[in-house]
Amino acid sequence: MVLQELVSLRPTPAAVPPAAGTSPREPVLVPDLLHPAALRRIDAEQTKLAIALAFASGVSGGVFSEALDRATVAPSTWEPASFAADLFLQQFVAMCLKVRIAGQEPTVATSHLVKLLAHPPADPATVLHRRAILAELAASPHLRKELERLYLTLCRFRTLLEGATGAGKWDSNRRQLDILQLIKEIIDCAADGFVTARSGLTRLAAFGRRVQEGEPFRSLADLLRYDERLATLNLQVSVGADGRIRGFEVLSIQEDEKNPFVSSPWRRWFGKIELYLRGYKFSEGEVMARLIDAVFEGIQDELAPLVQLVGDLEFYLGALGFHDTAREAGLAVCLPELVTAQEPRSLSGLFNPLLLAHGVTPVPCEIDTDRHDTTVLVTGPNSGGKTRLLQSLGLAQLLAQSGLFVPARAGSLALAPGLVVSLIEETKADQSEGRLGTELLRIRDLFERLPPGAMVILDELCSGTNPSEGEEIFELVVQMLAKLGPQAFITTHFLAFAARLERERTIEELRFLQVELGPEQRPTYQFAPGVAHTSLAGHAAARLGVTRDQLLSLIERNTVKAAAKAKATRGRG
Amino acid sequence: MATFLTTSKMHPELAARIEASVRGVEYKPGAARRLPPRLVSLARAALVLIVALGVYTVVNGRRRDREALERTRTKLLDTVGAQSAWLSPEDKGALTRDESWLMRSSGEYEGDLVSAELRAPGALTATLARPTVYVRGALGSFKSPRLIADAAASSGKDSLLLCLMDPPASRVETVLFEKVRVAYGGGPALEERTKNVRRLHEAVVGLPLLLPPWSDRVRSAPDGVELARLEREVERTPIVRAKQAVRAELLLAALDEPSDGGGPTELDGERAHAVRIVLVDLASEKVLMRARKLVDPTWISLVKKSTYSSGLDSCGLAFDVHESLGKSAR
Repeated sequence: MVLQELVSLRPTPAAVPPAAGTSPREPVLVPDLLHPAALRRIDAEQTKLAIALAFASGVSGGVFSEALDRATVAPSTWEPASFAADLFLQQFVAMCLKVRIAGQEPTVATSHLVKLLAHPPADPATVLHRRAILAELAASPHLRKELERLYLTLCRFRTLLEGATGAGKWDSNRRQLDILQLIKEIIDCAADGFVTARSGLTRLAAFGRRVQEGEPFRSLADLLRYDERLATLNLQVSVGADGRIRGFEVLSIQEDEKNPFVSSPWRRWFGKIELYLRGYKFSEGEVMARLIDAVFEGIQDELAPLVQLVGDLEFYLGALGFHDTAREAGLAVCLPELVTAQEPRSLSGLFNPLLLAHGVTPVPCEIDTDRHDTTVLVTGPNSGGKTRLLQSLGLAQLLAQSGLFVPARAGSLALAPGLVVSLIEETKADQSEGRLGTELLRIRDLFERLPPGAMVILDELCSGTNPSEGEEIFELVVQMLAKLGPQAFITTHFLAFAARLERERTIEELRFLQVELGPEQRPTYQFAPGVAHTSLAGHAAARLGVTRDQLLSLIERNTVKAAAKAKATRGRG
Repeated sequence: MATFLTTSKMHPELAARIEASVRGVEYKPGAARRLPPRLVSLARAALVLIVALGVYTVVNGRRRDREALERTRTKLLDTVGAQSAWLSPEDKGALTRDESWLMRSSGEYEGDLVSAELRAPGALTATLARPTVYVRGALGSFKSPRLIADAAASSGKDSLLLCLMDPPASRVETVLFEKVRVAYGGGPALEERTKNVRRLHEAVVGLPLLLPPWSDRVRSAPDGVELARLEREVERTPIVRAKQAVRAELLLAALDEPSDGGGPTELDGERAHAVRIVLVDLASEKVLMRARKLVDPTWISLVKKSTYSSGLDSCGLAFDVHESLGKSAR
């Protein structure tokens, strides 16, 4: 069902620009899957050097992760410091964007993914580019399988290159030939596995074909064939009545004469002599080492982009993993319809992915507002799901901005130029201000960072001071926010104040959502228009054991315990 | 510069990269730094040359050593072979035969004997002109071949031999002393007068070199050290004289019996004692003469006694032997 929804996404064909570099006239040098105009985001020279070192020695671990950690990202107007910590972005990536292939979970470069998500592209074309790729992958099991195969081959390449399995202890030539074999498989997979793709995945095919057509790749293929099949022997083996081999006759020997690496035995022998006189060892292995060296020298320019490709594949495979996890929990994700800020916001079946990652099946909810550029005050009882809603909204916005699935069955979202989230405000040992001071600094910080039209998510605004004074500041904040036209969601327990704002309608762009309560005044984790009448503090107190009777019981228990302890102490004395 | 690692079927760019890799012109990350290939090549060529030269020197030296060894071996065998070629089987058993006569003579004295050949006047002198081997020693030193060899080593041509071959005209001390002085002087004068006589010692040390076991040792000598030792042995040994000794026709032996303990002992060791004189014709295996005479230095003048007692007594003994032969002839 989810796939059907994905296929019927609204983006018009015109909204998805053709991926740059996919034109037959334009060679694809970098198989960048994240941007419509291919970007080289890693330090190619440094990565090339690191790969060459790893290829030679097999002891240079971390080539891929270090290159990806240093990779640049596309221009973004978002400031990670404004939301990453409060949205638990690191945790979200580690727990929700897992790559799962055939029951295996390869190690993902988490920090690279965090960086990608924390910097949503400023260019909407990039978002559309990614959405198109993801939609195609979700709709085409074949393409997804090919992408997974490509990723697994790249993982094997990385493992062998970085010597993570101790393979470097083997024969050095064998290890390097195995690496070259994997390079060939990667290029072949890219060239042949995505010929049917219509999204930005076509860039993989174009990249693969370009490399395949080059001399370095042909030489690589020839060398591998030379290694595997220098010659073909036709043998005739005679077996006796007892099953033992009695005769062994070579009928013919056929050398692969078309292979440019095949030369006559005497020439190979002279080659060894030549190498010896030049200062190398006198061995067949040294001849092969020189050939491998020459072939690798030719192909190594094509390898640095593969490191970047690993990061790109993890981006999409992580999203598909999130999709699979949600589906296994009976939930659905989607690529939301992208609308303008003046159009309604609609998120159907919105759920909190962090709850899902922690093993709790979240209750999906429906969020609808008549437009995006409003300030929504969310009220409701304690533990009613307000903070979880804010998390969900923030993550949904973040994922949508990155071109990924959002944790909702369907919906429409408007892209925002920034996101400021303030969900938690922990007391710090070195803080110089009291609770009110800290809250005021938080507000000041918000306005310092907030661009017009950005999304703002604030939890429990002005909860650190007395209600009457807090309400004044709250009103001031809401009024000022309105001047920036933000997409704001603010939770509060100033219920009377919120009710007054709703009643008086002094602020035009203000909207109200309240937690729905069930028949027994229990929160349903659903949200409806309006302002809540109660915070149900009593319910929370009872649930947490803070009633009069429960407190008296605790006091009595502690008194008895203290008396008994004093008596025992006197007895020992 | 082309390399044997490239082929004509290769793409030029691939061939160029292989050549670059072989030349090592570019620094290859991760590869151990090498010395310049040309320097390595020169060093290796020099090393190969040095090793080859060393091997050639050693092999050639060993070959030359072997050739020198064989030359020495051949020379030794030729030297000894030339001498031994003329030895008859009887000659080769001469030493054993001599020892046998000596051991027999050192036993209980069998009594004086003068063969008919010696009874004629001047017959002893004439007989002793034949090739003779001579030895003198204490009676007890002729009991075994080893003791005989020791006795022969210390036995030289002396006054007794000279005076037997060229008897003095009288037993007057001054007459005897003329002979004794020649004998004590040794050298060519004595050798000239006794040139047909060889010491038994010369046969003892020389004969083994002329026998097959010694040639076998030469042939089987494993190295130059052993061969040099054998060569020095040959050089030290008077092989020609040894050959003469083993081919002697007569055996002349003087066996000094122990003194009976009476009388003084002179400074040169001479004292009164009996001496057995045995002359054997080795060819016919016949004793030509067996005599037992007493010598006593008490008659010698004080002037000569301290130095020449033994010589004068010996020469006097020879005079007595001739005298007794003359009496028996009469």
